[in-house]
Amino acid sequence: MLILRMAFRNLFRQYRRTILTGLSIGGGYIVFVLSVSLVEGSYGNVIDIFTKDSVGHIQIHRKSYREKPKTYLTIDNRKELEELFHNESQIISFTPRVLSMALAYGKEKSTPVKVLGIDPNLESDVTRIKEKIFSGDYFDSIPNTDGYYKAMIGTSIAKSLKIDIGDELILIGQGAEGSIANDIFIVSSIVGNENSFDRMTVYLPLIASQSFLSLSDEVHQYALLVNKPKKNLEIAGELQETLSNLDVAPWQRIETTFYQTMQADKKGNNFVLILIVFLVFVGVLNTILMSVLERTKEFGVIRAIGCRPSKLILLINLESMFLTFLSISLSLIIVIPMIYWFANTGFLLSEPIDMGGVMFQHMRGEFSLNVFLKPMIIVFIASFLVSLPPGFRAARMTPKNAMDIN
Amino acid sequence: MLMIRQAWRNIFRNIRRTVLTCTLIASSLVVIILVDSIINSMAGLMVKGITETIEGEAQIYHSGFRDQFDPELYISDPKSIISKLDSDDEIKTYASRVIVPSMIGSSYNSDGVILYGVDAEKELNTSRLQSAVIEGDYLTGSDRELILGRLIAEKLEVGIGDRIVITSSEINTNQMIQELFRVSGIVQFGPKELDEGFAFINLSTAQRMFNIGEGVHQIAIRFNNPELANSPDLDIYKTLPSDTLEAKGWLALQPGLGAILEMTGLSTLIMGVMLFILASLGVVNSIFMSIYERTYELAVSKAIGTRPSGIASLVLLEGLFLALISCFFGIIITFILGIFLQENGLPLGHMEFSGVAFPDNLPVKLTLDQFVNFPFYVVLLTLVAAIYPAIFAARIIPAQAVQKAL
Repeated sequence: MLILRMAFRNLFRQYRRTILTGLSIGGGYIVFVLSVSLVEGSYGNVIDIFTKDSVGHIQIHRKSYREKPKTYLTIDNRKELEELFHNESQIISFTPRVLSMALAYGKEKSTPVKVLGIDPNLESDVTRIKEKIFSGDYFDSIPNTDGYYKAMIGTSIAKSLKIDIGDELILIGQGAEGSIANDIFIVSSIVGNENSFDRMTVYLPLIASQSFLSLSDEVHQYALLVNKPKKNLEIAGELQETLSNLDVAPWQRIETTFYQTMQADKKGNNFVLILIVFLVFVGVLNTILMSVLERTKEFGVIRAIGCRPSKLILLINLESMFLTFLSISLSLIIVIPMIYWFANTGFLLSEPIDMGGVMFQHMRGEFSLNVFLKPMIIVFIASFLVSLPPGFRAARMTPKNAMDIN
Repeated sequence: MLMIRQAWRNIFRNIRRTVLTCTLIASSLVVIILVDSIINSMAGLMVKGITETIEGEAQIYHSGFRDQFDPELYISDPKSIISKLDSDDEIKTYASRVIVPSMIGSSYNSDGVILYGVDAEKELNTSRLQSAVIEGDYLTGSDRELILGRLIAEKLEVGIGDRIVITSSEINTNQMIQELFRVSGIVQFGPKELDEGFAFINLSTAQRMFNIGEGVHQIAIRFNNPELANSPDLDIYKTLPSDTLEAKGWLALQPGLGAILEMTGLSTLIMGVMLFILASLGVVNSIFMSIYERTYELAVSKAIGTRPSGIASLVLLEGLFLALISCFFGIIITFILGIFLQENGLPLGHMEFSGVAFPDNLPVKLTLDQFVNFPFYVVLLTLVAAIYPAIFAARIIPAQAVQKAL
């Protein structure tokens, strides 16, 4: 107890030095927290957007489909799979999809498009497709009286083919056995805007896309949402073990380029943060060392009246810990509202940035215990480490030499 | 003179403190120069990646063409423009292109691509098309040649000499057309979207196929002095544009790139401000400590007649020397690190921004002005940081200070 009180009081003997050192530590901590929060939050935000926009947390394909997408490489044991998804508590929702390319014709023009066959009911459990409808109504799997199915089209298709809701859309593609596939569809709605990933996509009801491509009840892809998005790598690993004949890929493997870019960017950021912490603590080391040198005589006296060297190290250590504790506590008062604002409002870049194929526009903070705790631990460890050399220096002094100095 | 010698000697009275303070200032200098170089190198690579790969530094196209890449919006009579470009001294080279989204099919698979009809000779200096060829040959001008991106070639499972069918529609009549080509070359640009989405044929073939006579969709331009590309004073931006024609530099063509450049500039500034705040806190602290140690001495020198301004100057001079010494070592360290980075690059990993792929080891270039500007700011800011302790020292009242010290 005595040593705690001593350490605490020592801090206020030279309050100007304490304040300046505290400012460095606090400033370093604030920068650290802001940067961690902004990096985690912005990426978290963009990952949330694209996983819930289309990709899902995990995708399942027939083996080798992702490398060479061919129409006949389908998943055909759908019942079994879907039962498994239902029974797996970590999977919140799943949706089957059929994928293909086709040439789309409007009244006069044509353009290549991506065809995405989806189950209207299941798809909206996984992605935000319903909210993305720009005009018209979300479609269903029921053909109209002429036997034509509905189709939802991306904004750019509507613009370049000059077609609107209610118009006919003709698709020409390649069926599963290499035959020519063609069909007429009625546009039921227009999806997204010109920046959406699906601006050149035609959505068809699953049944319609299967008959278009001459498939039976087969699909190319399952997209899943899991209850713990941050653990999707492990969940994907477990699923892969059960489904050894299929290819189970977490989004990190689907959006590889983005993931690599993000990892590289985070690496760069961490490097800069480490430099900042290093700079802060060179300053702190400087101060503690000076304060120890100034008090050489005092330490000599303490040693002479019987204080053990280990106690001296502890004393100096405690001083630096107290200082760190105080600076962090005060910094928290400033930084918590800042992070709160960043997390809830954040700021928009004037133009979206294309990062490995994923659009990035909203800079946002993350507000979580981790954002505050991780920097705190690192700052404490650093302040502990820098107080060791001055501590050992003080502990090694012999009382006689220490008091001789002046 | 006496004062300069006094200040110089003072900073060596406590070598340990001087070393630590200089480490702090020098590291800040090193960090800011390196961060600035990394950011500049990335921005430079990005601009080069975009302008030199395909897009050119400026483009001329039919108004509205870039909104949807609607093939109907083509320049039907490019001759007058081309004669203007030929006579413009600022322009190094230009290349006309036909650009039509099409379906591309092999015996195994089909997909949508952007089909470019290019002038093989003109592209040599305008784009990287020729140097990107990794297999087979560059275009020679014969009718059935086709160059494919590496990823789309893999997807279609074709190699050199294999047959490819392009399906699209004639531009004016919208009649469906199909043409047979043979893969003559495979290109790899780096970014995924280029390698999986582009195919190139000869310009004359494309003009005949789409039946547009001499028409072109785009003229990409490179300047003798690339820095002028975004200056609105250029002849082509002033005289060419009309109701149906637009001419724009890369910054106007790629607003996303502008946003990235803006953001990187901002982040260097933020980084710089943070570093200088942290470094100056350290400087203030260290100068204060040296003043405290010398309170008695300063008081005596004041008592024997040194003016307060003299004492302040002494402290400022010490700050100046600290800064100069730090800059000296900082520059040497940066120089050594810079040479290393220039040769080996910064191993960040794979990154892609705005469709530009960065090498895994980012090459970092240092420029002379960084070694002049940043040290200048460091000296200036260290002096600013020294003002507060200098004023404090100047205000020492001899009577009190001497008492305290006794």
